[in-house]
Amino acid sequence: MRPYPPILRLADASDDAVEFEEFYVAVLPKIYAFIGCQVRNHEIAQDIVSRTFVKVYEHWNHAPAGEAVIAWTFRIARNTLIDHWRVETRRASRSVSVEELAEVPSAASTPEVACARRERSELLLRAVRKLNDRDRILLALKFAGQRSNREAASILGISEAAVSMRLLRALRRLRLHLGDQGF
Amino acid sequence: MWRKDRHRARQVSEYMDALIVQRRADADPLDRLLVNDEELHELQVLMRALTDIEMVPPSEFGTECRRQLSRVPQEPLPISSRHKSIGRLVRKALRSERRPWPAVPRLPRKIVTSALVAAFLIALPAHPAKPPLASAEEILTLSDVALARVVRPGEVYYRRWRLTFSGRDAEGIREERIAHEWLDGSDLERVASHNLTPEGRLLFGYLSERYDGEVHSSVYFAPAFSDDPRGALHLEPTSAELRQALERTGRDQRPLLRTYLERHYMYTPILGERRFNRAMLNAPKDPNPLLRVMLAFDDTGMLSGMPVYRVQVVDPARVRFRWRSDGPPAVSRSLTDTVRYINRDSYLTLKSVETHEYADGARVVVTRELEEARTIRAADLTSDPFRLEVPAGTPTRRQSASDLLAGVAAVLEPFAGAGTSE
Repeated sequence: MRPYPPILRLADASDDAVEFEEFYVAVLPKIYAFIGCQVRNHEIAQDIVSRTFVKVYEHWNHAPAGEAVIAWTFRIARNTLIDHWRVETRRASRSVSVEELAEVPSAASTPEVACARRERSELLLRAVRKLNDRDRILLALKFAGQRSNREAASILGISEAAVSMRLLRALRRLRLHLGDQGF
Repeated sequence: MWRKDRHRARQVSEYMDALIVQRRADADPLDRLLVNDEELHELQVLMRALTDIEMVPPSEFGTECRRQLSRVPQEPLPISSRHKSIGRLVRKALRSERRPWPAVPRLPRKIVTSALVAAFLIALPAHPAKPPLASAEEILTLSDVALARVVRPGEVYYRRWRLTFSGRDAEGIREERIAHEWLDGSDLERVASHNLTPEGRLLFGYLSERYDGEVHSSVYFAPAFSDDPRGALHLEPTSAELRQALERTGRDQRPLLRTYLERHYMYTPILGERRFNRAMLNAPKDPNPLLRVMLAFDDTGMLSGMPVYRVQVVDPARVRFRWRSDGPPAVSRSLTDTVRYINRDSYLTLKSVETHEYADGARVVVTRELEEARTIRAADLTSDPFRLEVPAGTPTRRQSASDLLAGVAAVLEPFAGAGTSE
């Protein structure tokens, strides 16, 4: 019987290996969502997520204990994303192409509702990508990464109160970008 | 202006955290809070739309990425991480506590374990970490005390839940249920529950009480909820029967099955929930082959004016069990993300959101929200909730502990042999 979700066991099934496997299965979707909503397409998202997990795996023996490992992983993902943006800025190719937007699946029950929801999501993602890096990272941490304010504060190295205030301002700016488009 | 913004920022943050927890569940308890303010209302709509976005990795990406990682060299274990090695020793010690210790007297074992725990704690300052939670035993003791405070002999503790099942599968399921639960203050092992449709039609009733020195549980499934048109009364295996069945299982399967039983996935009103929460709060210290991953732990939050732990764990395999009238039980496995708001005083749940992802791609979100909890004088009850009324002619089936564990073992087979062994 195949394991679900598919898990590749390392040759050495030591405690560390098993721990990393379980961690990887649980955290990959959150990191992917965090990165995916900030970049242009799946290929770029996959590249950044792969690079993130390579760093995580390399330094796994130095990873903090307990739940702090999640914040640590998000910090690595954020830094990898910022590195990617720096390179992109140098290439001056950070414009957002509607055609390249990541496919956004929908949980809607009918094709019509699914289509409407997808359009709405794409509109939102386009507006999110127009925000400055700081706002975009915070919104992605909250909505895609599903981090609480306390965790976001730990990842960003700021206070919880600052997270709350930045969040309010980021949402206001997002609303401005969306303008009169039904949000 | 600054003060107003600060207040708004706090409102927005509270709303958003609640929204993240109940992603895609329609109930929105905070609607009333924001609806009267135009700006907050607009931001609320925006936040809901943002949480509605799903961004999932392509299925083959996770496997491919993991394959790449197996070729990446890891940095060696640093000297400063000595606490991790000591932690492993502690885990081994704790793990071995589950086995009988015939050759070692009780006191030395405790001393050895305490010494290892002390060594672990001494090593911690080099790597600051969150203070550990209360132990499993402490949590159960504390919650026993809390329950005894909530309900006294001659009283009944009552709770009402709203359950919402929503998901994505071939049929696009959507269902609501109301659950009523009772706990007898005169005997804290006596519990009952009724699950009904919103229209008040009984789906199943549960009763657990002690007789012949053992706690026995019975479940009556109404015809609409059973695969038998006459309905069914199931007599569930007792703890002793499950323990005996566990001892008869293979050594490679036993750690998995023990984990299944200890995490208390099987439904028992109120009491099972406390044990589940205890296991959940202890996730990082719980060594076993089905290693839970704790994604979030927040002990500073409030929900409905009560201090709560907000805990999020991911279980690699949760088992769904369904008995059938004409054959062995049907079992299925899901990857489950569980978020619970656990009352810090009673260790009982105030709210829970579980997202189950099945191998066939189906995804089901189950939201449980506590709508009412109160203590009632037993004399004031108009009917006896601890009487399971079963229509005449309902077939009775005694569930077999061995069948139950065999079904669980079958779906957990891919995990056998990983991690601990007997």
